[in-house]
Amino acid sequence: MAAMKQIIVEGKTYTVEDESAALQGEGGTMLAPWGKNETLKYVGKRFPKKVAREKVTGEAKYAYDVQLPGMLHARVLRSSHANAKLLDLETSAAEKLPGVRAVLSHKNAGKQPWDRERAVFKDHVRLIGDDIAAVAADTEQIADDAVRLIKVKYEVLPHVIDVREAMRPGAPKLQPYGNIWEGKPKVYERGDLAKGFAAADVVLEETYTTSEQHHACLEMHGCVAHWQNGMLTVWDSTQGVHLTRDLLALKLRLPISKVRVLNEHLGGGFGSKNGVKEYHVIAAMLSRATGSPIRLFLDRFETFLLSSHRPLTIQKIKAGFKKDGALTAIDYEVIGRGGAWNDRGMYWAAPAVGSPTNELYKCPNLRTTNIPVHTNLSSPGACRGPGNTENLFALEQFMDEAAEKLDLDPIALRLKNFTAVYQPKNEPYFSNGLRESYEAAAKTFGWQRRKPKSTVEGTKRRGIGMSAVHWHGFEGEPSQALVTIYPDGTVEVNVGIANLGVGAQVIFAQIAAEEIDVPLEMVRVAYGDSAGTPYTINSSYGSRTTFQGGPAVRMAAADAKQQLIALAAETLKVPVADVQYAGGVFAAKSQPEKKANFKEVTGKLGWMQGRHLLIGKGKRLPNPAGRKVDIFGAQMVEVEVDTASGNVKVLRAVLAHDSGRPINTLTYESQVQGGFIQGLGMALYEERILDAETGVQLNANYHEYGCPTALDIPDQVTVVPIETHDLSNNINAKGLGEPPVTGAGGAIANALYNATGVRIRDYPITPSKVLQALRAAV
Amino acid sequence: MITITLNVNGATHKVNVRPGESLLSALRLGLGLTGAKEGCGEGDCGACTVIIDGRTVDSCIYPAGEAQGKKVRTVEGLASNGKLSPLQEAFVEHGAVQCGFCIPGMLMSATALLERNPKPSEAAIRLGLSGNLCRCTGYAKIVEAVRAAASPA
Amino acid sequence: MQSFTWINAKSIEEVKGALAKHGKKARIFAGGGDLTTLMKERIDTPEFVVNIGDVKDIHYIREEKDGLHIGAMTILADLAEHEAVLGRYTALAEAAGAVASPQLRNMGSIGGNLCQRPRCWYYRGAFHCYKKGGDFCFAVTGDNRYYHSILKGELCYMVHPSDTAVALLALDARITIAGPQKEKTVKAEDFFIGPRQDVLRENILQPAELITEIVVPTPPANTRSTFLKTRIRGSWDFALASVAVRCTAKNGVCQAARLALGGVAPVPLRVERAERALAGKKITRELSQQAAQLATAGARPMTMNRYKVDLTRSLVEKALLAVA
Repeated sequence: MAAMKQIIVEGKTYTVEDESAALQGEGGTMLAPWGKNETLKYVGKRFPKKVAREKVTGEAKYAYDVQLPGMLHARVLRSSHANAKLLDLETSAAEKLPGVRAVLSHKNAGKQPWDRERAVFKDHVRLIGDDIAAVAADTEQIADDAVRLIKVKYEVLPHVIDVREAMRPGAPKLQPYGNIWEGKPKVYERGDLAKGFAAADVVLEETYTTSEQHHACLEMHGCVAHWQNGMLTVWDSTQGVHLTRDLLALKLRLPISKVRVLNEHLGGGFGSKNGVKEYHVIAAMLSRATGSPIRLFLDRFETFLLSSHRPLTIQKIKAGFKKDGALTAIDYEVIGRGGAWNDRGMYWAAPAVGSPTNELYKCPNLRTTNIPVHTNLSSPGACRGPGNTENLFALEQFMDEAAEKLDLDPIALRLKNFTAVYQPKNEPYFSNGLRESYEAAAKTFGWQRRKPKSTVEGTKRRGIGMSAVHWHGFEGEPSQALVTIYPDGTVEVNVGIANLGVGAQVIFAQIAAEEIDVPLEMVRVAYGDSAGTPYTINSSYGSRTTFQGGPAVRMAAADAKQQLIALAAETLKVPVADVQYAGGVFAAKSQPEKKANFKEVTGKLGWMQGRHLLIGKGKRLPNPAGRKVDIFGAQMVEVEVDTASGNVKVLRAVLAHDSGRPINTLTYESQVQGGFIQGLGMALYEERILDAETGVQLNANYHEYGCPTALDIPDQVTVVPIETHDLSNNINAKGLGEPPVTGAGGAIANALYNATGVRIRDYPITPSKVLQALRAAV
Repeated sequence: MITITLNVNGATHKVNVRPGESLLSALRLGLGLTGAKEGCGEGDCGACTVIIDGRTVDSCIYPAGEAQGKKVRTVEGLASNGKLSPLQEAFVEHGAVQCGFCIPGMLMSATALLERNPKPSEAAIRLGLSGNLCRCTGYAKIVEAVRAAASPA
Repeated sequence: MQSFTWINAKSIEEVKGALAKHGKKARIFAGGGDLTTLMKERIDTPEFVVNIGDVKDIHYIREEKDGLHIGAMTILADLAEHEAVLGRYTALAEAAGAVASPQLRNMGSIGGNLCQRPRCWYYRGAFHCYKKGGDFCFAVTGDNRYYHSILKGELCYMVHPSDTAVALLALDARITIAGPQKEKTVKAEDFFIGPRQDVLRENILQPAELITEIVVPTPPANTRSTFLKTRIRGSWDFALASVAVRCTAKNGVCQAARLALGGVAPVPLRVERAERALAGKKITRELSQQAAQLATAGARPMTMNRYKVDLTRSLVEKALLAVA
């Protein structure tokens, strides 16, 4: 039983687990979190990523670049209807085309299930893009030609695309339980809503919609699969080699020992490359059928169609406030557009949306209603900052509207409702840097100079706005890491992660260098192969790679160091307890002249010396019980709105983020800047546009979809790290990747209002909407 | 299939291509130069950018045959004898690289820009990079790296 | 992409020969940015592709006595950076510089830019519309928020995508066409045709014809021109609306003006009513507003693009004040 202690938060006493005891590792290694003012050599500094060198020379190999001898190329025939039964499928012409090696469909591979309700190859398609048949051929061109030779006769059935239409009685029913996922809305409640509204001085209600944002990774989705001697090897564009391995094994009913997944470099994921999709299974099936390696990549059109997206949401927020700004009640409802099938996408469609409303502001009386709705479309998925982004785009504009109605400064209203307690479970946060984020952002930005109205120059109007940032932290997971010491002194950190490119490798190297106290150049990181790495993280989602894996790496490094000290004791012929290590030198405390440098000691390792290599093992332990990890921040922007063209340009942004202890301030800045620009894209440009009648995506290409370019970014994007001393784990980290997206929409929409006096509650804020709103306001 | 002669990064190669096959495909499949990437195949992202006779093009929609008799440069040709070019060095040092899939194209655009305009303004840098999508970095550190490589040492 | 035969022509005669031989089965590759995309998506499936990139005598920008002569294969980047074009034919340099991305401006030719196919997403998608020989315009009942018309739409409601065409109309350019018959020259505004004339094409070129040269007459003294374009992003995007204006003015009084609109009609659209309203008058904010009203008079917005009327007016007003 771990030691418990009592802490007082906001005047209340909470019983929580003591962090120093909870962080005791295996073998008695004590690894309390780094102290608040502890001097660290490598952690918290700027270090470029070593792997960047391979990327600037073009040597870096992505799954997309993998070429194997005898490799075949695959293409998939997809449904062109949103709901239809296959009456006939004729593949003989494709099979006869020279160069075609295999054709699979429900006719010859119908038994391969995808999930509990469908096979990989469908005979009843429910959305445009559903897999019907696949071809493997000598070249991609032949495979593409062959797919077009397959003839399908459809019986077209009624379909529904619009989310409100899908909720109406009489709409085509897509699941046995109806079109609302599992039959009814998911409701979370606390306190007494009626009492809360009765106590309010001011009640405000508004509705907001957010768009379907695509991840739009530069590297398209796909893999190369080779089934050989009963073993399946897959080079995959994935965020996690272990999760992809585990799920692929599950789909193919193989033990996980028979599947190996590799990822050396990943060309973007943002939540869309976790786990497996049909193409993984199809590539494996084609490889089994042909005996050859199969390359199956979606093209850009298919990537838009099928790689998932952030859901479209319609969010109604009704809230009561006291005159001083204190919240008395929130009644929140979100309708989210889901796909046709009953899969995990339905969770992302709405249940995942709403946690900032539940958690960010202190509110005793609250109800959130989540309504995920089936439509004949592909499923939404986790898209960087899933749920929180959609919710904050709405909530933070709502708070701005409330502040104006209450005649309060937007920050003052937020501070009035600040809470240090995670309300759904009534647990205090380990740390909460929200206040500090507001203060630091305001100071850097010059928020106090905010004017109630804009400055005007010709057709240009300028204004400023802000948003809070919120992302949920995680429980501690059973993460593992290894640290191997080589005879030449090289320290190899071995971690089971893919390579998203945001800097996990250099961060893990910094942690190991810090713990062992060796120069960073001596540390290298092995990763990216499910067969040769421990289970550090299943897949890099949720902004938790550093948070979960970092503490395990530190533990492994500490274990390696203990073993090194034992080896040094043997070398120096003194008791272990007499050895101290500093500045690259092991010395006996009792006889300072007895010493050996780092490489002299490591030189004793290895087969030639009759010894094993030295391997340190580390595991991450659970977070100390009784407290919650959450991630906070504040974003402020200045925009310029051209009232003639409707273009909104963000001139500058200040992004203050509390992610616990920043490990690498260079990669930190880059990740925050990049996340914010994705949010800016969602706020101003990006959305999936569908033909309302057929459900065909009209802008399934980079050109019309519209990711921000170098000409669309602010002149200045200033990142202000807010360091909180978080005690949930031994490296004080909380997570960083997703929160930067979440604040962009609210901040930009609020600045637009400050500039022009018009509210646009429907994202993205395109020139057409700005011009229409300005015209309506005249 | 037809055989064409390409001059890539100063060396001459014979490559077999289909009529109208893209230069990107010839580089990647024919010559094994996988530095240039395909992000869309339609000129909408710039991941395939290479330099032909001093100008950047989207090699995914540039016919390989058109490059005959011209000088093609790809990311593989930027470093010499293992020494990174100042731009490559700046991209690493300034943290301009995340996933890196856009970087080979981005570097070719930046290289062509600095060769034509050694001291570009901030606006000229952004314009020079405006045919290359980056989904990770938000461009700030890329622009910073180009600025650093451009200014006199 | 469907397989095809690639013909690498070295001279105009070779191009004409190939086009005459293969007729409707052949397409000209003049940079190829648009054609390649159409072929990849199998919207266009020519059996023969005639590359004119290696035809030597159509790559030039020459300023002669009568004006600016531009070879059809001149790349847009060269036009955007050319000193004489920037100085005396400003609208054209600005329009060329506003096309797509730097790479596409390095690849795309002026001739190819004028002959681009529409960006309507129904035409580009899996819809059998008028432009593909069908009998319906899906944009009318569907999503018409961006690249659809507010003026002159009939049958097909696409908008002409070319930026340089708009500038050439304002600059009173002539387009030279070679083909089986004698070489001919037409006014830029007569080169483009609307859906009522032929819904399957956007200009007068016959299958065996090609553009060889564009001539922009030397502007009169005291003449300025400009091109303005509104798009969603700063790069790549086509115009939601654009305007090119050429104005000859003395002491702020307009002597002659030419005004053309892009992104709002199935053709690059010259608006003579607005031009007439300007002649002989001092260009003030009020006058430019009047001209802007006239330029969009008769606009019939579709279900989702009413904003384009306001946008076009703002652009016209801004352009006129810039050149006055």
